[in-house]
Amino acid sequence: MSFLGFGKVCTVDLTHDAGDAQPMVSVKNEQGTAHEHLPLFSTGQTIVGKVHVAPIPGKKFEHRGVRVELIGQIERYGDRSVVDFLASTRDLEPPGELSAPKSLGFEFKHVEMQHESYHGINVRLRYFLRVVVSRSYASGVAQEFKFWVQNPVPAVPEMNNSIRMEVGIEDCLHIEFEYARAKYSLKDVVVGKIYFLLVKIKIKHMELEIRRRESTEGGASAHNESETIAKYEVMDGAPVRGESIPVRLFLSPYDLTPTYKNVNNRFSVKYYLNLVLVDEWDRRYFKQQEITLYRAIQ
Amino acid sequence: MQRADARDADPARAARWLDEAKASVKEHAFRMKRAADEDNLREALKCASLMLGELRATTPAPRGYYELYIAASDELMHLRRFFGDKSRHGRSCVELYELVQHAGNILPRLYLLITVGATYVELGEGSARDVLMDLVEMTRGVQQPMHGLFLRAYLSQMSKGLLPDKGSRYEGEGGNIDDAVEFLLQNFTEMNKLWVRMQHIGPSNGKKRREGEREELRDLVGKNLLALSQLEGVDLQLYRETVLPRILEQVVNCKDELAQPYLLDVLIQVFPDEYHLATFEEVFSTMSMLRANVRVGSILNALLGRLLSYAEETPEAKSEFEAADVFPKSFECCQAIIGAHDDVPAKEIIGMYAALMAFARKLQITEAGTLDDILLALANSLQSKLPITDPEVAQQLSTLLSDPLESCELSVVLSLKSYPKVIALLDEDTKKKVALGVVQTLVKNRSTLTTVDHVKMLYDFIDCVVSADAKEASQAMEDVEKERSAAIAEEQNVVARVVHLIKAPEDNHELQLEMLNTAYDILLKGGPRRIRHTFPALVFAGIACGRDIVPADANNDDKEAISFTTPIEVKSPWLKKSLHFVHKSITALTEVAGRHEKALKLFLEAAQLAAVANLESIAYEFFERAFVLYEENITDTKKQVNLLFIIIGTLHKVNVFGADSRESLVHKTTGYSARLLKKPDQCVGAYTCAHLFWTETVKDSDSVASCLKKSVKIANAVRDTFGGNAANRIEALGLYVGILNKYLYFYDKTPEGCTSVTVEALQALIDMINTELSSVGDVRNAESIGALRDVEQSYANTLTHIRQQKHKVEDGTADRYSTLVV
Repeated sequence: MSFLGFGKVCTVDLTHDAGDAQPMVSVKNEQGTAHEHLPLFSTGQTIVGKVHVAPIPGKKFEHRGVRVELIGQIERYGDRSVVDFLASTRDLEPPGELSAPKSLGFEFKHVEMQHESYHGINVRLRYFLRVVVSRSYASGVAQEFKFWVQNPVPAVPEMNNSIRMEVGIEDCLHIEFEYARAKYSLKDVVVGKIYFLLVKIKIKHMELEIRRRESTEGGASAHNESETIAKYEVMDGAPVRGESIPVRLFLSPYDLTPTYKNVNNRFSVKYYLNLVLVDEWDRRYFKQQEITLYRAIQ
Repeated sequence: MQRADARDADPARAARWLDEAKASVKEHAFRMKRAADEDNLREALKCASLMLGELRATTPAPRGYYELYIAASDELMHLRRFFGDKSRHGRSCVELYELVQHAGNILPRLYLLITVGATYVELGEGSARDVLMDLVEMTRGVQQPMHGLFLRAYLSQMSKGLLPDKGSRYEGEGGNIDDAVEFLLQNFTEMNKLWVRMQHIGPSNGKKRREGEREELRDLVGKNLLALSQLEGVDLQLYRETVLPRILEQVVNCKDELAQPYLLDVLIQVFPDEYHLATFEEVFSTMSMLRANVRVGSILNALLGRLLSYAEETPEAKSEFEAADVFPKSFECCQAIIGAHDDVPAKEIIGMYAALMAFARKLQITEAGTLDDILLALANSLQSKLPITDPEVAQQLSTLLSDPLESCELSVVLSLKSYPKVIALLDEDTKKKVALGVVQTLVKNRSTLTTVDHVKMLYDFIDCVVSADAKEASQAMEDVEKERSAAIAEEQNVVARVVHLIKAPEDNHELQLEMLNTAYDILLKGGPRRIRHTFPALVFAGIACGRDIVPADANNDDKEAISFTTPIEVKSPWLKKSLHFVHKSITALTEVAGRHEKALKLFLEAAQLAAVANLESIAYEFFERAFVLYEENITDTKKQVNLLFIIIGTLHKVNVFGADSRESLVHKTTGYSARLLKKPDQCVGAYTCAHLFWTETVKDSDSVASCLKKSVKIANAVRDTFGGNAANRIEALGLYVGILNKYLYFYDKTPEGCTSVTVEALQALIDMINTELSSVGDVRNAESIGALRDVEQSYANTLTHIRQQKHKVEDGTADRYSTLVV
């Protein structure tokens, strides 16, 4: 933006003090087209780093102060609403003139970042550090440095009953399924069994799907969006009455997040196990069960 | 381009599908191997999944699927080697085990899981029990029958040698024999279920084809039983308490007509005999729980066969069998099976009892009581299946009935009261076949009947071919008779053989006659149609009995040397009795239309026997009877001639008669000769009769000469008939040559006193023949020329003989012939 001399007068960079020891995470970008590597933090951590401001070599410039902001933001695509649920600022440099590169240390102590970063279909929750170099008459320089937040839970949920249910279509299909637990960590295995109590349809195969339902809440933009994250065939062919089919689904290969409930009154993300039976005419019979996913400390 | 469909009914397109699928397997396998060579685990797994994806095809024919399976499973061996070399992929088995489970499609996933699992166990990283049990459990996810069958077959194959069998290196931490057994049993059970389920897949009109396809796949299931039998640790106790009950449970529960017999058969074949001996009752009781259409007989047969083979290899088996009540229980089992279903087909019932009979035979259970029980049970079971018309079933039954004949003493067989009952179950034709089969078996085995009761029993057995039934008696004898006479002749010839089985021991002629008389009484009831075939045999048996007595009384050891021309005094009263029997039997035969000729011959035969025994009046009686038959019943000219020669021949041999009797008989005979219809026959008769006057005892040369002269006269008459045309002259010439030969015969007897036959007469005859020959030299008729050539040849031979005689020095032969000019 060097157009009409209002262009970039300096370069800004940000480094974390942990250097190579800083945990990184590889996440899909918002468009889902590529992966990016971002520094990883969790709530309560202190974010320490340095902001590097450098004028265009050989030039000096005046500014009205340099600051760094830590922003937590929920953005809904549907109504284009953006809400900052977290904003914190550190002033790094009083107004003055900068003629040589300068590194400015900053620190956000024990930042409360209760929400995890999330890239969904209709909503994203993101964290970033924004370095702002203000100027009096020209637009300042502002640059965002994204980072990622994950909050593993330390303990296995106490209540973790099995999911058990009998479903069916009268005189046609009757099954009972059982998943060992209702809550799973992201690296867990879903173990279960499907009992066939009555089979009068010609089943071709059966699969277990993991579905994610993302719902945005509040205002006129309440909206649900479901997507199938995993399709896992658990049975080939038609069983007969009395057959029990084992289920063992490893969650680790899939791109899952924990279950998010009512994040900042803006959105929720829920996960479901969807058992689908497909008959010879490709009719689908299914039953969906919500499961709770959590991030366990590794 | 769209891929061909595996299900295609058109074989060409199905074949194309297979080719494409195989090509695809090959291609993915190539990439998989290349990835493995580059130690690229993920890529290798991905390609393997794609390759295995070809096995997801539904319902190609089993053969095609099998080929595909073989191709893919071969390629998996490369992957297995790769998995086994940790340095190449850097993963632990447990990591690999998880990694392959990420595959989204179940069939490729499980093939990979099994492959990793095998490596897992092999490298000792996981306990064999845990891994194998997990695999066998996870494979439940494949319910498509053919997919599942092959997948589990792959599991079976991969787990081979990895089972925690007794003494195996996987025993201990990896489990024990119980785990190995459990694994195999589970896999077996599931495979069998899938196999059974195959019949329900697809349209209902393809049932037959599907059964064929199932047949092709059955060994996949059976191999599990083989694997069980090959486990070192499966001892009798484990077999009895775990293995067998589980297998039998599956056999019963699957309710499948194809699986039940096959599995039982495999079970019987693969496990050792001594296990079967210990558990036969369980197997028996299972048999009665099978589907009604299952051919239990062959299964029973197989099991009994195994028990027998055990008996053959183990000396103490017999007592073990007795201790275990093997036979009675087998018998009970048979009855239980039949009792269990109302609709056991006759064929099955017979099959089972046949197996039982064979079993009894091999175990040398020959008590009549037991066998009788079997037959009785059989008869009762078949009662509701009557009539038995299926020829195959009848054949089975007759084979069964011949079984005891083969194995037991005839006396035992004949005491089986239920035997006739079983025969009675059959329809008429089959009954007859069976009866004849019985006789044929007896004849083949050279069995003998040695008591009157046996004779009665046997005839009772074959009653259907012995007695005339009511229906038959009422039938008009004509049309039906013609049709059936050939059949009856064949049948009765067999029946007649029974007579020859009658053989009293130790030359007990009284008994022999008694038995023959019994046979006589029984056979007489058969009516003329049967008598005509059976009685000749009876007569011969009577004659044989008589002959048997003769040499015995004559104290002559060399039976071959007996001369029937020399009468011998016989003291045994049984000879007369046997002759009486013969007389009676022949008389019965004479009453049958068309058997007079035979009866006549038999009378002559009997006469000879009587003559040998010096029983003149009896011999005379026989001759008389023969003559009466000749006079009253033989009307056919040709037969007359033939019989006359036989009479002459017999009479010539017999020397028992006093002068009067003899003269009377000879007179009658010459009279018959003179009364023959045709002149040429008379001529031959006349010169043949000459022999009657020149026997060992009678030397009447004048009569000889007169007979010969008479024959010349008749020949002359033949020559002159119809003004002596060429044909007649040639015929007469033939007669002359014949007469010349007789002249020569008797001329040679001159030293014995046959003086009436003179060289002059001979010379005259030769001259006449020469004259005649020259006078018929001009015949042109082709037929006549042929006859003439024959005569000329015969005459030339005779002359050659005379010339030779001229050179014979001994007995003054040469002298006698010297004056003869030829």
